[in-house]
Amino acid sequence: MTTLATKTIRPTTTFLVALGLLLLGAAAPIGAVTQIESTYGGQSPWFTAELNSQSVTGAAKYRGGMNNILNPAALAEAKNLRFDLGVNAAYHEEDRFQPLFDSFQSLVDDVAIASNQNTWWGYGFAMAAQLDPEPLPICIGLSLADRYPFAYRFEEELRDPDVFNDPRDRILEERVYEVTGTLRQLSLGLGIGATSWLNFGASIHYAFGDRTERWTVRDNDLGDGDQSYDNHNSWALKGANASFGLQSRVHERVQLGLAYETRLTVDGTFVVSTFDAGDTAPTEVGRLQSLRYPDYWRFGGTFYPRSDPRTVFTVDVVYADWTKMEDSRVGSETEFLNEVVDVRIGLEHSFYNGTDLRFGFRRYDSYASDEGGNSVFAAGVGFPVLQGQLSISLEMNKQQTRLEHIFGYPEDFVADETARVDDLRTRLGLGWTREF
Amino acid sequence: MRARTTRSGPVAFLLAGVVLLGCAGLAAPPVAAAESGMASETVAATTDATGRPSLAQGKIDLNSASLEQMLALPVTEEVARAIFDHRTYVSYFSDLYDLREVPGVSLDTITILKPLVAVLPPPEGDAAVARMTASYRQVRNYLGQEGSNEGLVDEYLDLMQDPANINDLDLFELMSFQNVSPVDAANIIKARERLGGFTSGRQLRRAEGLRYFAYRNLRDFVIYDDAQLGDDRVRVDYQVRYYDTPIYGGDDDAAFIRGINSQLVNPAMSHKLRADLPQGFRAGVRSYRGLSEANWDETMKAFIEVKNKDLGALHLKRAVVGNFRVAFGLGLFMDNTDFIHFRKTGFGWNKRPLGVRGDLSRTHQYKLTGAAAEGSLGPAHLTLFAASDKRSGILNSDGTINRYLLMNPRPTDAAIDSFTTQVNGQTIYREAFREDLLGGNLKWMFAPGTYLGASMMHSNFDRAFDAQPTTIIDGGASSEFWEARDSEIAAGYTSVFEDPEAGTRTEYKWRRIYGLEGQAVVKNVAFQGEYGRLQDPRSGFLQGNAPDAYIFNTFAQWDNFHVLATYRDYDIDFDNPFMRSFSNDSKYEQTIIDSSYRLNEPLYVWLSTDNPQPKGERGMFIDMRYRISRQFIINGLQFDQWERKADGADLTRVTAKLEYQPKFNLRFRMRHRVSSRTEQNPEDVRTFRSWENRIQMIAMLSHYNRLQLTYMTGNVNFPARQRLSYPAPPGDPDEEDRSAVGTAASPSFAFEARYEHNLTPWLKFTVAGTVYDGFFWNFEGNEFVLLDAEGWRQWFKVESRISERMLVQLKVTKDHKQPGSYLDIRDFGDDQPPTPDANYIPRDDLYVRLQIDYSF
Repeated sequence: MTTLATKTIRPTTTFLVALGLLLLGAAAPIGAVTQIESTYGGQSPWFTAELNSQSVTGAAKYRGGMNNILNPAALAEAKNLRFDLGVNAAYHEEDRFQPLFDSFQSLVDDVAIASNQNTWWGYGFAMAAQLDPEPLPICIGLSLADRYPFAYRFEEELRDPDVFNDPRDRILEERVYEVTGTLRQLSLGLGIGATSWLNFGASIHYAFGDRTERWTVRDNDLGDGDQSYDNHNSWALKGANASFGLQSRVHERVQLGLAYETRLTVDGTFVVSTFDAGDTAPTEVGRLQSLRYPDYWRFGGTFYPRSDPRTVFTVDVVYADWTKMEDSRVGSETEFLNEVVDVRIGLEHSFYNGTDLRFGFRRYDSYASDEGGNSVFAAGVGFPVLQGQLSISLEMNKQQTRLEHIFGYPEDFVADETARVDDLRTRLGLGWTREF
Repeated sequence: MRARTTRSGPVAFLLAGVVLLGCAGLAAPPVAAAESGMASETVAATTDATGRPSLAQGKIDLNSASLEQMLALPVTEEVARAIFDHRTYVSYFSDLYDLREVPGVSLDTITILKPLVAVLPPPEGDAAVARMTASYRQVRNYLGQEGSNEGLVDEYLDLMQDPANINDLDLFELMSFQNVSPVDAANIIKARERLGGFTSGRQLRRAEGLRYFAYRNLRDFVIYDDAQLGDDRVRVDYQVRYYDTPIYGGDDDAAFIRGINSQLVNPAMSHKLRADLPQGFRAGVRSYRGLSEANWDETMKAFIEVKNKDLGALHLKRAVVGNFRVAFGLGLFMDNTDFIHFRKTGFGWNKRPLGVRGDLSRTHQYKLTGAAAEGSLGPAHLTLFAASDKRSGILNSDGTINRYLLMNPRPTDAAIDSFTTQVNGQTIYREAFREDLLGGNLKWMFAPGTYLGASMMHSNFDRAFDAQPTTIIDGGASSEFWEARDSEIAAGYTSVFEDPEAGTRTEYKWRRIYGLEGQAVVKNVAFQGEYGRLQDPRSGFLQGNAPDAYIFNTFAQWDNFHVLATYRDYDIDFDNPFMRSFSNDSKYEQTIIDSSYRLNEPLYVWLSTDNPQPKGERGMFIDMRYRISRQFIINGLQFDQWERKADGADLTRVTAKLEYQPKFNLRFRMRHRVSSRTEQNPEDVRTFRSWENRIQMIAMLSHYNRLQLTYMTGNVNFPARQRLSYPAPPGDPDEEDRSAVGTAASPSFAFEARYEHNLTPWLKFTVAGTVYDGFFWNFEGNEFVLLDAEGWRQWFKVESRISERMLVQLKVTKDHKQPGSYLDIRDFGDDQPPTPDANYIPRDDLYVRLQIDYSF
């Protein structure tokens, strides 16, 4: 068994790798959330390929340094020094629909008025190690992950519906709504094996990041004067919170875990910048604002059956009451948000040649929409490479909601003040795990 | 992360073993078996007084040793723990050399361990689980069953774990098994009486007149001696299902459901817990939410049931309190399910759960909540049931009940109210009226397989019935859109009678139905019949011209051939909501109710889309199956000609299903169907014809892997549909003409390639891709899918039996329909506009389905 106390790891290499990743992590564009999640962050962030291919279950299972977030008590199961790295590419397709009625006022179909496809990427990093096995196993974990990604982009052209105008289908307006940025979480955790069947742990999280939101309209139809504008706001955020957890091996085949994450408060200067047609320079107003996220309860179970190939089955239930979300910009708790129950199932089959097959299923409510529940299918494979394991994951996610239009439309242009929005997200991940 | 294990090739391994064996044989004097020869390493050196293997002194059993005992072996701690982990989490050892599968164990390690360890047979598992494992493929199919078969397959699964003693099963229990015909059941009983009881499967197989086909489908569910039963312990099965796959992927469905606003996206979810308790008790509870319904507990069901109790001379076969299912005969009198199964003959795979049993199915509209009991006293067989439930329905403006309405999905009353366009306000309600039902059935057994029975069912309501067609369509029968085939709308049950001369109005808040049924088995022929009569509330029993219905079956079987003939005649005003007998169409199909835009309330279209009641029809159906040879089987030749009684239209349907198996692992299935409607209706002289061909190739590969290719083509021809036309404006010279609106022909085709791969006996993947254009139906595993569009579809499914008691099935489907383009809506006579109303309608969908089954 290798621990930091007994084996000499090349500290320089480790330090440089960790530093490099931290620096990279601070700068990258992260994304793939839907419009309803772009205000306060996505509910399906990226961790590692191994985790995401099993729907991010880990409240009762050791997953390396990412247990800082899932359940720090599970860190106590670390035996070796373990690194996890992951990158992902996500493809997000959004279609917006309006109903079309016939002369009987019967619905004919939902027709698309806007379709957008965007690609995003992101990554995560974690490490965990056992400091000393005696008298009690004490383990630490370090992780960096996107906790609340905000990135979203919507683009549309408003075209002239009058077919007798010349030229036809003239672009009246070009509109872009874009949100960029992410709230990352750098976590340090400690897990202790109190007895052979009980672990407990705690971790602290430092959240940092930014969020930039932009509305840009270019008016090409200047009949009523130039209505163009470019408004954006930017917000640098930072804050801290903590997690606590318990994990118990209640049976040789069953492990249970319970974790609680405290509320995260992040704040920073919220700068609003407006630039209307005719302006020579943007007008900026800055003010200190804050967000206070809800707390999380995570309960999980892991089942180790007798199965050939070796199989591990994990179930997590995560609860967060987003009605308690506080946004100083709106002055009170955001009661229009919902409670969220998130059910996750992960399955891993390990074959003799070191290959792991992984599957996951997740169903979670949307905190921002009663209708926006998500079903996620995940799959992945891991196979030994270079004394470590290379993991590949694939996640597919469909969400349907009904939302008000981002930009207004001229009278009679659309039949409904809301649009049905279909979001289809596919995320491919690549990860590498190395244990020393 | 798992370390790589260096392993020798199999040849070297065997050579080493042979060398070792040879050395041991040459060097050692003849001793007890455990000390010489490879085979002796798998058993103990000695046996105990009972003859069971036991350990020689000093050795430990790898299949039962504790971790401490393993750590005491002369191997590294890592290896000892790996051995323990393998035994605990992967599999027991059947042989000392299975240790080679453990990471870190080499041949040298085995040599070191050989004198210190032994491998005894692992602890005996649960016999019930062993039975399920032996029939695992069949179990997997049953676990996916839905629809009208749902309750019956729960019983099959229970019987697989706890088989019934064949000597205790009565005629109706035997007939409930798939492919066990009344002739088979009668012959089983005769043979049983002759022999004084079966004592073995061989005796059952040799029962005269019992087909091999029937025996094969029965043998997994029966035992021959109560001593073969396991201990009478509590056994619980839990199943959770989640899916967001709509059964119908056509555009109409999406448009219709969209009208129910905020419930568009909720997935279907089901939790089902069943317990088999000691002393013949069973219990169950289920919560279910259908696709797009609001709450997780839209349907809640529970029951407690006791089976096979003798109370003196009375044998209580079953008594249920809570939700129960009841069915008799051929389903004409009673079969309370929400699901229609067209052409349900009650033979072959289409069985009815005869009698009473606890109900945890997804049925909600026609569920029964109360109590039921079934028992026998000598040759008399009596069933009684009582229930009280609220039903969904349509109410007339005067508060009377227009008719039952099965809603699927069920919106909340608030959603209905927000969507309704009825001029007079809301008429559809989730709980429109209450039905208190009392019924019974008495059968008298004359001989094995031969009986006569009578039934009666009385329902009290809190309102009267008045099937006013004017509630459904403006103007009712006087509407310009009314046609003769719509007369079944006006023929719904009515219990309100007005006497204009006397100025009186009488309301009867009840309905009563009588039934007769019978069966006779003569050698290899079974005759069945059922008759039902709906009492006119103004008349007494057998008085007046009450509507009735009847159905007769004749079934003849030989070992490789059978033929079934069914004749049915249902009056259109025999309005029994619990009738589920043989039919080709459901009630109100092909009437004006199909056209939602003609109705006073578009939601009335549910009367047609999900109605499980048969349509009033009269006709003859013939079905035969003939196994010509081992390679060639006529799986079905069906001929059906019937008259739609509402308007006298004649319809025909012919289906041929062939199977050709040139080799053991290669099979071809072909299916051809033709349906048509002739020109017999003078009011609506139109023909209709559709045909479908389906060819399937199934190749069984190694390890039960399977490759399946399916090709389907079809076409529907029908003339212009007058109801869809729009008249020219008044004053127009073409005013009397109507545009010929409607599709003249609708071809379709589909091609599917599917591959099933068994990675291990417990882990299976299935991947499939389908290209389709037009109307297409298919079974994707156990899931039934209907499509009516153009596009392509892929799905992937993993089925993992992660332990002996737990099965996880996860399926993801990606469906890409061709986006719609150039959608143009015009009034009659308008010129085609320069731009379409819509030029892009994407239709991409992703569906996920999860099912977990756990028995403990």
